[in-house]
Amino acid sequence: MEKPVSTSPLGQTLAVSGVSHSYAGAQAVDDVNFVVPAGSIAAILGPSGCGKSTMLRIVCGLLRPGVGKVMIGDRDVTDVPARERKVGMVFQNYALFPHMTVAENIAYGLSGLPREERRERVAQMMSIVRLEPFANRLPRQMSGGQQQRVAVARALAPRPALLLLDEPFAALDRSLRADLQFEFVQLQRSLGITAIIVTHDQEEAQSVAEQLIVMNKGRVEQSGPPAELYDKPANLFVNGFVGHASLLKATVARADDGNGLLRLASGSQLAMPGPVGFVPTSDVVLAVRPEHVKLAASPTPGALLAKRVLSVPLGHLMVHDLLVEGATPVRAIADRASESAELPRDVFVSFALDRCRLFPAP
Amino acid sequence: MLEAHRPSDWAYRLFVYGVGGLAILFMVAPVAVGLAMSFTSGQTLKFPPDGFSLRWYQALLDPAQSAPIHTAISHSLQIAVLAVIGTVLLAAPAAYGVTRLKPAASAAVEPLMLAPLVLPSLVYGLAALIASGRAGLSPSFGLVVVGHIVVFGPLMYRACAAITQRLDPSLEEASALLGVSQFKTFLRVTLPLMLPGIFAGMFLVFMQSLDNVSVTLFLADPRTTVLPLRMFQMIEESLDVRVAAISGLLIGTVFLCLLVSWRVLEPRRQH
Repeated sequence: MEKPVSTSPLGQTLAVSGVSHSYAGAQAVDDVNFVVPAGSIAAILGPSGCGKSTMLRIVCGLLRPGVGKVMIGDRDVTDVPARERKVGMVFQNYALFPHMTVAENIAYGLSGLPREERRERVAQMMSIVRLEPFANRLPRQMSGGQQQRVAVARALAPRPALLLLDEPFAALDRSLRADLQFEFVQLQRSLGITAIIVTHDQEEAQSVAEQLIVMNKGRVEQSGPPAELYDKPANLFVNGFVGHASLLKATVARADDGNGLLRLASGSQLAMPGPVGFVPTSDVVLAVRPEHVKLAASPTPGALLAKRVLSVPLGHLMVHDLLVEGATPVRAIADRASESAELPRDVFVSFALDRCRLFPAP
Repeated sequence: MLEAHRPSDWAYRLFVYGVGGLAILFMVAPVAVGLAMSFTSGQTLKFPPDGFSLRWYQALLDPAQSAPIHTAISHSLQIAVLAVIGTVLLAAPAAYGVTRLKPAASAAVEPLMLAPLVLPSLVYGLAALIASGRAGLSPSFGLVVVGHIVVFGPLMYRACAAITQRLDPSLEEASALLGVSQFKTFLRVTLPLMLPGIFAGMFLVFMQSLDNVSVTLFLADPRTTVLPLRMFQMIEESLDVRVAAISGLLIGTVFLCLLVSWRVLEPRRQH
C-alpha cells in the first residue's frame, strides 16, 4: 500500500456473455452477462444458492460452462484450464497450505521464476500486505485477518490479470472487516488490478465495489453502480436485497391524468406526484426506503396513522419500526437531532412519494 | 464432578481406574515376566529367574549357535519391509483416490477395501493357498509378501483415509489456480499432508507383519522360516531361553519405534 508497485501490469477487462450451467439437470446459472472494466472492483451479490459461487468457478476455470463465453482482455479463456488462466483466487476459507510457512505459501505460484526474482517478489508481496515479521510463521499460528492477507498476497504474487475473492471477509470479526475492506480497496487501487468479490452481504458489496451484479436463482437481476441499484432498483428482489425497503400493497385507483392515485389495502388513498405507469385496478407494491418516511405527532394532509412498535437509537440516527394502519410494518429512519421531542405512541406517517418505487405485485 | 463424594462418582472412579488398572496389569505384567526371564543365568525358562546374566542374549547373537534364528529374523524383516513398501504403494494411493470418487461410489468401494481386516486371516490364508494352488502357484516367499500386503493393506488404508477424507479440496484448487500441475500439486501439497498417516500405517503394517503366523503358515514354503513360527518351534522342542531373549529384543525395538514416532509424528499432528 505504502510502496507503489511499478512493475505490476494493469488488470484486464472481464467479459462474461451468455453463460449457462446446470448441475445434474438443475440450472445453477442461466444466461449470465456482465462486463467488469479493467482496474475496477465488481461484487457479485446474492442470497446463498443464487449461482454466484458457480459463476466464480466458471470465471476462474475450475468449472467449464455448458454454454457461453468468458473473455479476459481480448483473450477467449472459455476453454483454457484453470492452471493456465492466470486468475488469482482468495478462497472463503483462504485454503492456505497448512504445512508451509507464510513465505512458502506466497512463493508457491512462483516456481517458474529464477530464485533471486522469486525471493524479491515474495518480499515485495509481504511488504504490500505488511506481513514481513511473519514470514516464517505457519498459517495456524496467525489470526484470521492475517491469514486473509496471506491468501491475498499468495493470489497476487504471480501477477494475475484478475483477482477473485469468495466471501473474503465473511470469517472475520465485524470490527476487523471494515478495516480490511478499506485496506483491500486501497491495495486494489494501487495495483490497478481487476477484482471480483462474491458476497451475500450487501453492505460489504456496497462498501467495496464500484459495480454490483445482483444475482438470484441463477440469473443476473440487475447490475450497475451501488447508488443506481439503491435509487433505481429494477425489480422487487433488487429493491429488497440492496438496502432496506418497506413494502405496502396497493391497487392503482386512477392513472388517467398525469397524477396517479393508489388505494392501500386498508382503504386509505395515496396521491402520487407523477404518472404511475400501471393501468387502473393493477395490483402493485409501493417500496419505501426508511429515510423517505416522515413521522409527525399531529396529523398532516395525506398522512397515515401508525403505531410505533420499537424505536432504537443507532448513532446519530433513530430507527423506528412502525405498524401503519394497524397492519403493514414500515421502518423509518430519522436524524435524532431533528426529532425535537419524544414522539407519541400513535404517530402520523407520510412518504416522500417522489422517491418511492412502484413494482407490480408478485 | 462438582460433588466428588456422590456414590455414583465413587462407582465411576472404581470402574474406570479399576478396569483400566486391570487392563494395564494383564497387558504389561506378562511382558515384564518375559523380560525378566530373558535375563536368567539358569538353563531353562522359569520365573522367577535363577540369577542375572546376558548369556542368552549372547547366545542369540552368536552366529554359530543361532544361525536358523538369524535366518528366520532376516526372512521376517524382509517380508515386513516388503509388505510396508507394498501397502505404501497400493493402499495409500487408494485412500487418496477414494476421496475423489462420488459419495455413492466411495461408499461402495470402502467396504471392499476394508474386507481383509474383518475376515479372519486364518480363513484368508487357507483360501489364498487353495486359490494360488489352482492358479499353479506353490507356496513361496513372494506369496507370503503378497498375502501380507492384502491382509495388512487395510491398516495403511485406514491410517491414510483418516487424513485424506479431511483434506480440504480447495487446497488442490488453490494450487491449480496458482498454475501448478496436478502431479506437482500431489507432491507439494497432498503428499506432505498425508505423511503422518503414511508413517502411522507403516508402523502398524510392519508390526503386524512381523507378528503374523496364520497367513505365513499357509503361504510359506518350508525354506521360508519366519520368526514367530521359529520361536513356536523352539518352545515346543525345549524351553529355550533364547525365545525370551528374542522377546526382549522385540520389546526393546517396539519401544524405540514408539519413542521415535512420538518424537517425529507428534509435532506434525499438532498442526
